[in-house]
Amino acid sequence: MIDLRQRILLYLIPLMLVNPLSGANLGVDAEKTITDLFPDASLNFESQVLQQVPKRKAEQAANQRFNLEKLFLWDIKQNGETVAYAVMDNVIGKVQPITYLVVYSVDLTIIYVQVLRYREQIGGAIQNQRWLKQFEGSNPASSFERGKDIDGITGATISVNSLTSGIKRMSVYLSIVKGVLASHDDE
Amino acid sequence: MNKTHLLGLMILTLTMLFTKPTLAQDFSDIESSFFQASSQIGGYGEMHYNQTIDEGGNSSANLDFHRFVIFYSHAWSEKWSFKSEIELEHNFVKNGQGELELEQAFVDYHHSTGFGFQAGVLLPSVGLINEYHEPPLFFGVERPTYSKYIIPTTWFGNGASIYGSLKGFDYRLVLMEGLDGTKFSPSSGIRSGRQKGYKAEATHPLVNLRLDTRQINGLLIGGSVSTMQAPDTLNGKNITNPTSLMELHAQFTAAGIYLTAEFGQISYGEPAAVNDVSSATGYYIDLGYDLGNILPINGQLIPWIRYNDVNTAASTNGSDESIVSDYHKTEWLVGLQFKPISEVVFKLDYGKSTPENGSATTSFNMGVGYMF
Repeated sequence: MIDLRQRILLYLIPLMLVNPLSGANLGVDAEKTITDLFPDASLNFESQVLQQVPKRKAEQAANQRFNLEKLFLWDIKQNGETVAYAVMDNVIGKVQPITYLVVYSVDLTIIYVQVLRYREQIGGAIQNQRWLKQFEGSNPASSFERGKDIDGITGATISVNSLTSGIKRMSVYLSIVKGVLASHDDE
Repeated sequence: MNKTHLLGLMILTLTMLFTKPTLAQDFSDIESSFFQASSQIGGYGEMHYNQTIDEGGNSSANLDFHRFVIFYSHAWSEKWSFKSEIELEHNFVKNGQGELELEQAFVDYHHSTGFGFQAGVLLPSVGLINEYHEPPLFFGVERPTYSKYIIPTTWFGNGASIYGSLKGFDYRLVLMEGLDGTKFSPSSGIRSGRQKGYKAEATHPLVNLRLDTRQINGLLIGGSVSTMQAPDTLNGKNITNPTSLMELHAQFTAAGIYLTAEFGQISYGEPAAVNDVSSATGYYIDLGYDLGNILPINGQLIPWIRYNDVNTAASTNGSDESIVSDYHKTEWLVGLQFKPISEVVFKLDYGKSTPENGSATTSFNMGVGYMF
């Protein structure tokens, strides 16, 4: 016979072995957030390889390289009209990548930011929605300066710097390729 | 194990492995784009110029590359990673001068936001600076006196921890090598008792629990308790000295304001083993303001002020009260730091340290530091 303590331990083993994120899916989580913001919208998702010249310019503007080779983009439509865009992207934290979602209005003003997946101990405070709210209202021309536009977080300096640069980099990239996004609307 | 439990275990495991939620759109093909196994290199360092002048006008000065640290890590998967930090202090190691230390080296299992596990060389969660000690993160060329004699930074050792964030509170529970009680002293508290992972005595472990919360943007409030039975000798007999360190910390950083406060107390259950000292206490307060918020400056320019009070023999068991004033020291510092970018800092500060018994010392320090 095994006692209650042994029984609890036995049932904890599969919980430890199975990734709690294996059932989760970044794309599904992103669409849930977008749908919460735009309940009646239709979502068109596409991934496209980053364009080299805009990519370089955005990296120079933000002093940060792209971690991914592709743009993961949602075109958010209501009554057939594009009302917003959403982008899912990565930046590198202290060790692990941080996956985040930015929702933009059609003029590329930031409407909402969410950290979709944080994968380590240090710096996890950047997931706090109260802190992320600071990005709302920023646009590609904003300076995104730490300590001025964006307050720091004790114990999360590298993650704060990395995510802030990532959002600036993505905003600048979108502003350069916006013509492409607009032509995509017309299709 | 009986057959019923074995069957239940197998069904649970298989169910968790193969059950997937129904998705409106299947994004599984892009999931792998967002994680690749990879290694990272980071680091930090700081060079100091330290000048001290005593009341007699005698002056001495040193130029020292105090810390050079290389940080190496690898992520095998989203859950499993390794992190390390190797430090060289004072440029080289020879004949007891300088130090080469493995300050961190641990395997990290990040199960979820609510739960993670680490094992290896760890930093206990005590105070604001022990875990976050990169030079751009604190005021002053040198760390606060409090963070040397009350919180013995950088405090590291072999052990394991669990951590996570639940309902707005970050927690971390560490079980690690304890402190060597024979090296506790009225002058430096528990600092010399750190074993630094060197074939650490493991029969008297230390338990450390920290709780932090961030309920207001820019404000961190937290505290920790560390406790152990420190092995020692008294009157030729082996004893254990019940030793604890309790500390509270708060930091506010928003709108260009930087306000930091820490308070800590070390308690000894066997004062006779520490020259009759039963406790050590200390605190400091920092206030700074980023002039970059009101002046056209590229980067941050922060004037700041600090008051620090440390007594490594704050109370005794009553046999010798005079010792209480012998190890009591107060300190004022004013300083300026310039961060052209958030990872690089240039610092200078001027201060006066006044022992309750003894003559005051004036200090002037300059430094440069970086992190990446």
